[in-house]
Formats: sequence, structure tokens, C-alpha cells
Amino acid sequence: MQVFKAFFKVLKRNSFTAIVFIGVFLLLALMISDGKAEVTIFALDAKKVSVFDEDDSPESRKFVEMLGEKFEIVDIRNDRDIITDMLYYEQIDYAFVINRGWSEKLAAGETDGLFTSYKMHDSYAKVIVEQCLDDYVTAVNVYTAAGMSLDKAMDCAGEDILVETDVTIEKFGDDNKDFTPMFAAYYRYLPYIFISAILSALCPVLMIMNRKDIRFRTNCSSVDANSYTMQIFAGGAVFVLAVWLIFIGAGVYMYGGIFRGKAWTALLNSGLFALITTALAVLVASVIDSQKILTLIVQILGLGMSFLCGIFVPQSMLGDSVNAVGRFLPAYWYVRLNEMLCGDRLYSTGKAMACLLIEAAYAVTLVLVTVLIRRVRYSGAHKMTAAKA
Amino acid sequence: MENTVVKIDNLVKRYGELIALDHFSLEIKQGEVFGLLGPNGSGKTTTINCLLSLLAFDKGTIEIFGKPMSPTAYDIKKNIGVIMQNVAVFDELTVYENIDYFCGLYITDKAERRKYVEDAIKFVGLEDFTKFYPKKLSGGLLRRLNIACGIAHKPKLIILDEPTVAVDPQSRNRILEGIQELNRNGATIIYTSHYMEEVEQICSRIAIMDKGRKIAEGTKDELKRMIKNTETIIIEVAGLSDEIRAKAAALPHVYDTEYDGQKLTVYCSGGKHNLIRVLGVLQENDISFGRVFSELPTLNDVFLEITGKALRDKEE
Amino acid sequence: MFLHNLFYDLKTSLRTKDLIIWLMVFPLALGAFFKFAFDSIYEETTKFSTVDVAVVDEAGDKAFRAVADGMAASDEPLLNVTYADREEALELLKKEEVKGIIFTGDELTLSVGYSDIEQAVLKSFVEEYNLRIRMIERAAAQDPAAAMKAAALISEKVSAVNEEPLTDGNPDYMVQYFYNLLAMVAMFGIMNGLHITEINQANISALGARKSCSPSPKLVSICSALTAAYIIQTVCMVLSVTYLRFILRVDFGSSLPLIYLTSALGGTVGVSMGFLIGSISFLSQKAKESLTVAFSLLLCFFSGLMVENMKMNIEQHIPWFNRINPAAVISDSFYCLNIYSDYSRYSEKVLTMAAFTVFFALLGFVFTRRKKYASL
Repeated sequence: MQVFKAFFKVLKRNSFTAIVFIGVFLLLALMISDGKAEVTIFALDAKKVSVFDEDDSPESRKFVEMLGEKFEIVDIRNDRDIITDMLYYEQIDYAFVINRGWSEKLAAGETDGLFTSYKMHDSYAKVIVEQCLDDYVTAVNVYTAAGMSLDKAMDCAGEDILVETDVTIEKFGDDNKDFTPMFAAYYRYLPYIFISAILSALCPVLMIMNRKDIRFRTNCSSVDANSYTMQIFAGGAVFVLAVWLIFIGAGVYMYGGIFRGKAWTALLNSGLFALITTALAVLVASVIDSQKILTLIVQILGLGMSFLCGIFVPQSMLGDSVNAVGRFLPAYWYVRLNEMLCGDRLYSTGKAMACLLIEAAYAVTLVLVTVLIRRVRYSGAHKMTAAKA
Repeated sequence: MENTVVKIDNLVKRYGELIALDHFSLEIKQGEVFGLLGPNGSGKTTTINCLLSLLAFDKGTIEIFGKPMSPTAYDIKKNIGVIMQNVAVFDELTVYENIDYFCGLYITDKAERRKYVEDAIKFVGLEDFTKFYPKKLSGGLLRRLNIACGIAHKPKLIILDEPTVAVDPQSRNRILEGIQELNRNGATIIYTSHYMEEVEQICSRIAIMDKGRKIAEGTKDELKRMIKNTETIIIEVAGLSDEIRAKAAALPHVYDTEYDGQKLTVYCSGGKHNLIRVLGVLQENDISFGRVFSELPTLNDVFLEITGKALRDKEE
Repeated sequence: MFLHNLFYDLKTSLRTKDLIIWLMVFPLALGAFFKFAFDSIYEETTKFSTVDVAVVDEAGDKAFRAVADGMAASDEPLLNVTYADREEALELLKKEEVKGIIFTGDELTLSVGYSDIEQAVLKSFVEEYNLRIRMIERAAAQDPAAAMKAAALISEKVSAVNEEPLTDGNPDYMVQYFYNLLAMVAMFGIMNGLHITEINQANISALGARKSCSPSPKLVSICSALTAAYIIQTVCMVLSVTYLRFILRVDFGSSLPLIYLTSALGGTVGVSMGFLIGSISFLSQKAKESLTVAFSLLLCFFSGLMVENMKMNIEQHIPWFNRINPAAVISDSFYCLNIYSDYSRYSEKVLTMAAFTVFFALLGFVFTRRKKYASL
């Protein structure tokens, strides 16, 4: 137990670092999920459109009003730089001008050059909005050709455009009111947060415990090498448990309320991932010995895994090749389960269990690898004599 | 030609409540090997750091080479060599590069510097290790590198702050001889230590510090003269009666005796032939005795008598 | 004296091999991950692929079947249709063998398991189909004679929209992750900056104490250390840009020399910031290290490294923060170079960075001017 106790004494002396990182990442966790939770799945979402009405006729105003019911009209200044920024950063999906003379052309059945759009990305949103504009013009033409007045034709075309197609989301199994999208978003980012916060806070302590002179001294003592490693793991695990509780507590406070149904699975999921992170921290601290290098490695692990496993970008948007690589990283399975739980992916108990089991396997593997590495790195002499004997 | 090299006047340094230096004054003349002796925490290093203008102090003045010392007194700094308690070298540079780097902060001419660096390497005996990185050096060699970095520019005043801590006897002797050689070549030396043997061995003048105060100053002999004790006689003798012990205590110049059943200790102050007189008492009473020691006072006795405690803690 | 110091400062920095290596590995590895992940995003989101769909056609809608069959005959069919009854279709959906179920009837309706791009494609197909049906019905109701004419008009391809490109640069949205990655590499110049005070301040290291005792003025030794850190950081930045541009083939737009210049300048901002933080004397070196890392991560977060719309969120609520967040300024200047054809906004960003560098460095000098310490 000496090692275990010493671990906490060292931790106490280094609590400043730990508190800074846990604090910062707690803040990040809340801000990320807050920022992301507003964005529901983009594809079926209302499109954000900016319109600049240069025709400014009663007809064009009427058209804009109708569009306002179909899309979310975002009012921005008609400034090229602003439009560029808004489009580039996808704050709006589409920006277009109703050209001067629009109403006359529409009345005359002309279709060319009615609108001018500002082009940035070739996105789905753009296709959908443009399709809608074309459909509207087609409808007006069809109806005027059938003998309606322009005014009547516009009314009818508007009605047609505004009819929403009925899309049912089929639920297999129970619905996800126990695990709200906000809550799910918070949980989605936890792997990034755990890796960054726990590695940044825990590894410096472990690195002190692993320092050569201390290690040599410990190796000379009667503590068994495996017991030493296990005590380190135990110390790390207790610390991580505390960190985990902080983050879970923050999540409950912000979004969740009481855990019900699937939320418990999500909780188990995050707990397993915290364990994986503990093992990872012990592993990393066994291989490196510099604070600065730790920073860089944490970034590579945290950000790298986040991008490859669908934490920052949903897995469905990543290509098959990326997901194929992601499969070899534990965060992939975490995210997969989380997506299942919140309904972004079909849920089945078997698949959920598989994810949890794979994560557990990662935790065990990491612990074994760490024990092995520590044996090779730290007790070379011991191993050699053992081999001779 | 006894020019004053260092003059510290009425120096006071506080760390909050703790008074690290309490109206400390000191004068060091050119050509001296000046020892600052005192137990751990007596203020030796603080004195050095104030002297070097690294540490801000609350009161007092410091002059070096007759000019007030300040952080920007580069003309003064040019002539000072410093060897700190902690090894201060770049792990990323080799032995040669380290010495060259620090020497280069003083000597800008390249050809001249090369000679200086080579001299320094020879001086500390690191000729075989010039391409080594500090991490590969043993403790003693590392200390020697530390010294070489401090003295390569041939300074007129060399300040050594416990340079022999954790050094093997061989390296230690080499370092001490080196310091004396530097002194013979004309450098004034300030040497701090809590090893009284070292200080006795090489220092021409000594100040003893305790709790931030200077409690005594002078040459070795002057210091020893300051105390009552001039000779301590220890005789291994068994079964001594109180009567005979009283006779010994009554001898002239004897001011105290101790007896623990095995050893008789007689403290004398002044006078000659004290040993013969004490042995005479034993002979008169036909008492046989074993080994006999007569010890002249050490700096430890000086310190002990002035402060009432030993210079070094028991465990050291 | 300056050159002597600079020579050795560079030498020591270069010999701290593992830090340099990791400082390089970090953008290389993350850059490769980004590239790998984002290239496929482009494929996933913009390249059409056939969507598997089940159709429950209980009424036997001939018109729909005609459309569906016509589509299946084309080279790159939009839909791959499986006809099934309701139960079978639901089973297929559950097994994710189809992305959605289309029910025929008066109007088409759609069922999906969850919402995603393929589902959006299905939705837009269904809407389009329904709309056309409605148009024909309405036109026929108005004037039965005109129904044929209306049908002809409907099938005519209308393009009412003319496009006006906003930029000659690379509009790829994902490039901004690389901007932010470069901004992060620049921010990690903070570590190089911290080192400057570490080796020069007597109260931080024994080395600093020794240097302080030498006749080499502090201004000189700090200037040389700062210069060395700038050089190292610039090399890092240049290598990162070169790697991203020429090995990963990230398209930064046309003005590559200015991209190099910007990244170098960004690096100096990071180094100066580290120098400034290092010169704050009341913090321990360890505290400084963890604070700076946490701080730079936060800055990168606010400039959008983790969540891409963060910068615009901030632009809407606290726009001044984007002007002074060094990470945002750095990534913004890459963006301006790429997207805008005139340089006014870019030069504004460059001036900001230059001002930051000078301001941080000057402030750092003021703080390190202190020559004596209360305790060592």
C-alpha cells in the first residue's frame, strides 16, 4: 500500500496542474456540447437562407414572405465579406439576390437570370434550396400557362412549395427520451475530454513516480514489480473515478436529471472509457519523461482519436476507410454505442453489448501491454537474472 | 598592498519573519582565501547571493573592488568567477561547449577564449572528457565541470559556494588544491563550507556564521585564541577515584575535567606542559593508563564554545 | 556577445531533440489524421452514391413504378428500389439493408430509421415527386386542356439561378481545420518562449543564476534567446506548412509565400506569449507550464479547432474576442489569404500579429528587467 499512498501524496503536491486541466476541460466539455447540441442533424434541418431583394416589388416581397415559411431567413448586411464569412463558416446555407426586374420576367414566363446566388460550397443544402427556387418558378409558369393570373399562380406555387412531406422516423425498441440529444452530445465529447484531462492531470504524477532514481530505489525494495505496477494502476483508477464523477455530475447538473433507461448504458460506457484512459495514462507515463512532450502526445492522442473515431465529426460523415481505421481505436466503439443510444444509429442490445465488451477488452489489453512494457523497461536486470535461473 | 576586494556593511536580509542576515559586515582583502564557515542555514549562501546582486536585501551596502555592486555592474562582474552550490551547466552541451559558452560571456575574443577554455579543462583535469555530455559524468567530474565553467575566464575574485558537497575524497582534494593554486596565481577566494577541516586547510582568514550573524572572524590562530580552551587532554584510564580526579582538576591551568569510567578528559587554558603535569598526578598515585591524546582546539571547539552547540549536527 | 549567445542558444535548443521531434511530429501526425478523415468527408457528403430503399406499393401506383424503373435504367441510379410489403420493409430497415421506406398512396410518404444524408436524399426525392404530382393535378383542375402543356413545362429543366463565385480560393470548409492546426502549432511556440526565461532568470534555475553573475547584460542574453526561439519556431512553422501543402496537398489558395510569412509571424506571436508568461515571476515553472498549455488549448478551442462553428458563434456574441484571440487571428489570416482577393483584411490580421509580438515581447522585457530577487 506504500506506493498507493505515496501516489496520492505526490498527487496532492501536484494538484495545481490537475485542477487547472480538469477545470479547463470541464469548461470545454460544457461549451462544446452546448454549442453542438443546438445543431440537430443537418440534412433534414431547416435551411438558413439570406435573401437580398433588389427587385423590391410587391411580388418579390410576397415571394420572400413565402420563403420565410419554408426556410429560416437570416438577415445580414449585403456586404460581400460578410456573406463570404457566413457562407464559408456555414452560418447560412445559401445567399441569393432576387434580381431587378424579377416580377416582370416571372410574369413573362422567362426563367433565365431570375436569381443570382453567391457560390461557396457545393453542399446538399445548396442543392435543396436551388431546387426549391427552380420548382417555384416552374410551378408559377405552369399555372400561368394554365390560365391563372400571376398573383393566383404565385399563391398556388407557394402553397405547393410549402407542403411538407410526411417523414416518419421508425423507432425500433424504446424511444430516447431518457437520453436527450443535449445529454448525448455531452457524452459524445467525453472521450476527448477524458483523454485530455486525465492524461494531462495524471501523467505528471505518474512520471514522478517513474523517475529513474525513485524507481531504482523502489526496485531495490522488497515490493514486487507487478504489485508496484498494480498499486500505480489502483491509485490512477481511484483518481480517475473522482474525475469521472465530477464530469458525470456536471453532465447530470447541466442536461440529464436523473438517469433512466438508456442513460445508464451511456454511464457504463463512459465509465469503461475512463478505465481505458487510466490504463492509457499509465502506459504513456511509462514511456515518456518530459512534461512538454506529454503535452504534445496528449494532443495527438486526444485530437487524433477524436477526428478518426467520429467525436468531432459524426461517424456517418467519415468515409469507410476512416471508420475502418477507427475500429482499431477504443473511442470508435464508445462513439458507436453513444450514437446508437441517442438514435443516430439503430440500437440493438446485442450490438450495444458488443461495443461494451470491445471497450473492456481494450482496457484489459492496455493494462497488459503496460505491465509488459514496464517489465521490459524498468526491471531489465531482474528479468535477466530470472532468465539465467 | 592590502587592497579591500569585498566590503559588506551592515547587511540585513529578511524572509518575512525570518531574519536570514542580521547586520552582517565583512571585509576581504586582496589575495586572501576567505572562509565563510557555519552550519546549514546559517546564511552563507544568502550572503553570497546578496554579494552577487542576485538577491534583494533590506539594508546595508556591498562594494566589490571598491565600487558599489549592482546587477548592471558589468565591469565588476567581469572579474568575478562564481561556482554555485547547484551544478549549473547545460545538459544539451558537451563539457567543452559548456565551458566555452560560459567563458564566452566574459571573453569575446575567440582565439583568446580557446586558450582560456583549454587552460580551464586542464586545470580541472577533464582533458579526457571534453566531448562528454554532463549526464554521462560522475558526480565528482560534474562538480569539476561546474568549477571549470566558473573560473575559465581567470577572474580576480572567485566565489565558491560549497563546491565539495557530495564529492569523493580524490576529487575533493583536487578541488582544494586547485583553489590554492588559483590563489597563488593571484585570485582572491571566498569559500563557504560547513566542513571545518576544509576551511582550516585552505583558508587564510575565516568568518564563522550562525543564524545570520557573524560570530567570530580572524585567522585560524586568532580564532582559536579567542576561546578559553587551548588544549584538551584525553587519557584512557579505568577505575579512577574522585579523589585523584580532584587532584588533576586542581592543577594549574586546568579549568574543567570529565570522567566517564573509561576516559578522563582534562580541559586546559593556557600554560605549558599541561600533559606532563596530568600524567604526573597519575604516576604519583601509581595508576596505570592506556592511550593518551592531547588535542589543540579546532574550529569546532571555537564554534562550540561561542554558540554552545557543535558546528555539525551529530548525524553528519 | 549576442552572436555567441545566439549560437549556443540555438545549439541547446536543437539538442533538446525529443522536444523538437515531438514539436514536429505533432503537426505531422494530426495533419495526416485530419487529411485522412476529411478527404473522406468530402466523398461521403458530396459524391452521390445509390441509396437503397424499400418501396411498399400496396395500391400498385403505375406512375411511380414508371419513374422508379426509368431511374433504375440510368447509369448512376439515385435509388436502388426493393419492392416489399410493410412487414418485410420494416425488417429491412431494422437490419439497415435499406435506408428508408417509401409508401405509395395519394402522395408518397417516407419512413426512415434515423436522419442522415441518405435519408435527406430520399426525402428530397419524395418531395420532388409529390410536388410534380400536385402541379399536374392543379393545372388540370384549372384548365384540363392545358394539362399537356403543363406536363411539358414541368419536364423542362429550369435553371432560374445564376451563380456568382465569391472567391477564387479554395472554398473547402475543412481547410479551416488545417488553419487551426497551424494556429495550434504556432501557439505551442509558447513552450519555446517559456524556455527563454527558464534559462535566464536567476530565481528559476541555477543556470539563470550563473548567467546573471556574468558581465553579459541580461538584455543581450534574453534578446539572443528570444531570437533563437523565433528561429526554431519559424523553422517548425515552415516545415509544417511545407508538409501540409506539398505532402498532404492541402490547398491553401494561391498566395503560398504569404502563407509561409503568416505562419512564421504566427509562430513569433506564440513564442512572445510564452516569453511573457515565463517572465511573470510569482508562478512556479511547473504552474506556468500547465497554465500555458491549458490556456493555449482554450484559445485554440475558441478559434474552432474542436468545434468548427465556434469562431462564428463568438463572432456573433463577443466579436472583439476574435480580434484579440491570437489563435483566431492566426487562423483568420490564413482564411483571408485564401478567400479574399484583396488584402485589406489580411493586412489587418498581419498587423495585429505583429503588434502582439512586439507588445508581448516588450512586456516580457519589462518584467524580466528585475535584476534582484526576493528569494532564490
